[in-house]
Amino acid sequence: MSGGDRMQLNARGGSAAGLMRLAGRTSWPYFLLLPTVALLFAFTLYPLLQGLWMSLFRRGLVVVPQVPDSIPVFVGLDNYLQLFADKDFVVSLLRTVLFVAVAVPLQLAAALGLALLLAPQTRFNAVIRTIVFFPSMISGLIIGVIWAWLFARNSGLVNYGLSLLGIPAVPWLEQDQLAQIAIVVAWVWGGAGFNMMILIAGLTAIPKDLYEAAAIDGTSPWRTFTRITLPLLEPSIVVVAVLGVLGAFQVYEIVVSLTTGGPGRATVFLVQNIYETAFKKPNQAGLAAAQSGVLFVILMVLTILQLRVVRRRG
Amino acid sequence: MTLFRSPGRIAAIVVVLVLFVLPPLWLLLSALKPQSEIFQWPPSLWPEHFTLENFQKTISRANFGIYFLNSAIVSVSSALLSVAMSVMAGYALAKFRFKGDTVIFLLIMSAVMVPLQIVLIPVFLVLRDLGLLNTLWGLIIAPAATPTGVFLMRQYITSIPDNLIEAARIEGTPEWRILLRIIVPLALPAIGTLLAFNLVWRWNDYLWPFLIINQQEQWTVQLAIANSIGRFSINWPRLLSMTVLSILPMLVIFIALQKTLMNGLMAGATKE
Amino acid sequence: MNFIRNTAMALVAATALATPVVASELQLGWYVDSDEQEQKLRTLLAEYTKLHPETTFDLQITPYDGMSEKFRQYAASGIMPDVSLTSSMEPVVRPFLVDWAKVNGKDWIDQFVKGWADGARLGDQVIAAPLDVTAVGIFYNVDAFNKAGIPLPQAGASWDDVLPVLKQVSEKSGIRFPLVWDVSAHRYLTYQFQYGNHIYSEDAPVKVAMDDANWVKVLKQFVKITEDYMPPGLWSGSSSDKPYDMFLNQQAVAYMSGSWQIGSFNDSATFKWQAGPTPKGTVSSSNVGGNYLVAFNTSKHLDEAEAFVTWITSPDVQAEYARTFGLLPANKLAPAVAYSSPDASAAVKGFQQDLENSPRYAATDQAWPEMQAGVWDAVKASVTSVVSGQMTPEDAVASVHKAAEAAIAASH
Repeated sequence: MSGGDRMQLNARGGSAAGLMRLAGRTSWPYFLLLPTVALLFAFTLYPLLQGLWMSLFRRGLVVVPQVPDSIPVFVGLDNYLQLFADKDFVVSLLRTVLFVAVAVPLQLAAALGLALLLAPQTRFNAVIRTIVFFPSMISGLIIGVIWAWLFARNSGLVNYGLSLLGIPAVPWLEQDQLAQIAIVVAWVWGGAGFNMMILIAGLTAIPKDLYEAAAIDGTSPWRTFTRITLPLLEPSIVVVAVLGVLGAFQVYEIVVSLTTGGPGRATVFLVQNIYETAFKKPNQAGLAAAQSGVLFVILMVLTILQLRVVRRRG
Repeated sequence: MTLFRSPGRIAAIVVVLVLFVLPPLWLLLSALKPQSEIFQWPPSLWPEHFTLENFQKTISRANFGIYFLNSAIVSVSSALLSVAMSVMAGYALAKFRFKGDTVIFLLIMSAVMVPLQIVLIPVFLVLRDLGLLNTLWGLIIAPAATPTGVFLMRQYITSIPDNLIEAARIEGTPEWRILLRIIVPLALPAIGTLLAFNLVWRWNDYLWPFLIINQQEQWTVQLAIANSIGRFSINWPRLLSMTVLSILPMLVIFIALQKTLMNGLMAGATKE
Repeated sequence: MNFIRNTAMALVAATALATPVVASELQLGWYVDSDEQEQKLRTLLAEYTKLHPETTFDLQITPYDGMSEKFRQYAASGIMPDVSLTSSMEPVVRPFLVDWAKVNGKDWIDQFVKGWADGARLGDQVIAAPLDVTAVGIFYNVDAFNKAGIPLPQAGASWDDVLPVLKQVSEKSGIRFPLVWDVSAHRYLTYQFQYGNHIYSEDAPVKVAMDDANWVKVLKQFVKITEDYMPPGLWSGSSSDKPYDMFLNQQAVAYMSGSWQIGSFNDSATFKWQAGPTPKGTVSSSNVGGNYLVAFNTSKHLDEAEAFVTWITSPDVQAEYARTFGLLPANKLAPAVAYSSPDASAAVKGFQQDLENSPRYAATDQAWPEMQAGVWDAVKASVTSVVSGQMTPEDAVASVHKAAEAAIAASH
């Protein structure tokens, strides 16, 4: 995709004059990127580097001279080696991987279905689109509060509705698998509107005459979908997939307000584990930083892989 | 996409409506119930005694208008700043090939690979050193660089044909003119969408205001809502009514955006 | 020239002498449960400013859940308010706390309720000033008992006596559940206290004093109570049912919580309620809780901060504070408090008695600073893991034991 376009760009600017103009403009992209990189460096990357540095020590989160265990002691890669023997960490990591594998494709499918359903520009569709976008208009905290209330075992609306139909109360949030399903549902529901809008923006960039040509040719709707829509929608699908994986791996806020990691510890995912190691256990900030480091590496690898797949096909 | 009024489509719309209408409807109706009715058993969707007292209490609260004003100032400023930066960065990554382009792209994306809750203390120290604590400027600037926005713009601008840009370059058009006169108009659907997203994201920010703001006069709506969760109980009437009120501006923005989107998307669909 | 210069200097000198003492604005970190509480607090602060016009206040309200994060920010950045309300003194922030033994003498702390006051000690230092005290206890829905025609439990009744009665009342009066219990380690620990169990030794040096076998037995009993008498799944760790709201909306006959609810029940309950008598196990025990005020030694207005805290913890002001907020005064020398209604006064008196009659370990356990290092979480997790079937009671108690040992190791 973009690699191909760039090749074209160079090929077209083949004349000497064109090349000279290109050279004079080489500093332009750096200038364009400067504000973004500067701000990100200050507020995210620099703290991130500090965190990675912390992972090479055993220390408290805040170094206070009077608490001897909080003073940093260099341990090299010891924290990382310790991680994979730590049962809590491994379990939460595997659980998170499973969550990503289930929730992201589900969200992509749901967003795609919604986009296809609601892309045509009618007023009716505009209303439905606004309703679907509602979960994105509220904070994760409130989403959790709403779902927790609807699915409360003894005072929730859903179980009350079921009781009217004669079905006994379902322990939505208090049985291991059901709680995990509830989180997937709440997460997919929360991101549906956002992802739907991305796909709709992508859908409307597809020129109408391609569809008209296919209709004239007598192509079946399914073939139109797979041969025209999907390939041209690829940049938007990549956005949904990449952002989805990044977001799903870091699921935290919605879990905290829905199940707080329960029942027991059945819905404790990676970020909650990191948080507890850093803030609830005394002087384990280095270990928590190592866990964050592992998360970072996983996400970087996955992002690179996803983008590579796209570039090769393009 | 051709319209089709099949029974399948209608069934799908019904399911969507139930799943998505029920929660906001329940939120709104609960905000209209008196406190004693909110948790009654058996629960009911529809209020028995319609009342606006929750809203009255929330609005008459001191500083209520200030919270909304603060949130509005922060959201609009930060969203405009963020969209401008994202368009610039996305354009650079989509249409230029330069030394370190992949590295910079991954660097930008890496900023979303670490959850904010974990790096909270180092970020707090950066804010302190830059003098941004206890200022609305801190709320505007700190979250303004959004890798998601950059990524979105990059993907969208990629699909803008190169020959338009090349032709302008051959004519000798300066780069900034290419950006403003060619790229921006063609990317308008994505820009509009991103603007809406940024407004919503900044409006719903909780962690940044929690970190940066201490004075009640500088509270945003989200801080005020979070303070409905007390130590021993939740102030439901205030939580519900404030949440409903805080959604209203979002709704207005989204509806206004749909209109411009429709026009912008129509134009985009007939290009090429 | 000289004349003008001298006059100017004289004027400047005169102005300097005539300037009153520069006003100090004290920054207060505080959490409240409602707007009314915030208003009452501001009124109280205005009262102090009237007495001491040079001291004004900048009230910084924070949600209770955010306090530990704020303390970490204070410790990391060196930027902190002058005074803060808090319910515990976390290790990170302890080096920054004013030592009240130096400010008011080492006997000053003895005028406060012993159990809560001990929690403010750190070795020879006193790092916090007790502001108010709470006691754990049970509340009954009197209307339900009357409707069922069953008399209320008497003082000295045990859980074995009371639980079946609650069930009868719920069946006869049509109330959904016999009992709801605050899902908190602090409230559960009270149940363990009532059977003679506690975590740490009563005297220094601190040691783990758990009788694991007895802990397991009592844990099993408690889990059975959650199954037979409480709403299903309440203690599973992810329940979103709220005991407070359920009791207030008459979905439960009894509610195991504490004295801090008296104020809100007084204001909001639409039924007749009664506080206690709390059932006992093998012994009768409550559990102490409350709030402290801490002053930070980085304050630029240290004298004013110390004066304010000393004022608000003095006997007469304590009585006023307790009455205004419906809490128990932390200062034992406070005159008797007349609360807003006779019911409330009787309730508070009952809770105060419960506290005084509790065994010694009910106060000493949480006074040990080691409790703050992850032990509370382990206690709560031990119950939720067993209720949700993820751990056996034996393993659960072992994990609490382990956490208690780790906390001692981490601070020595």
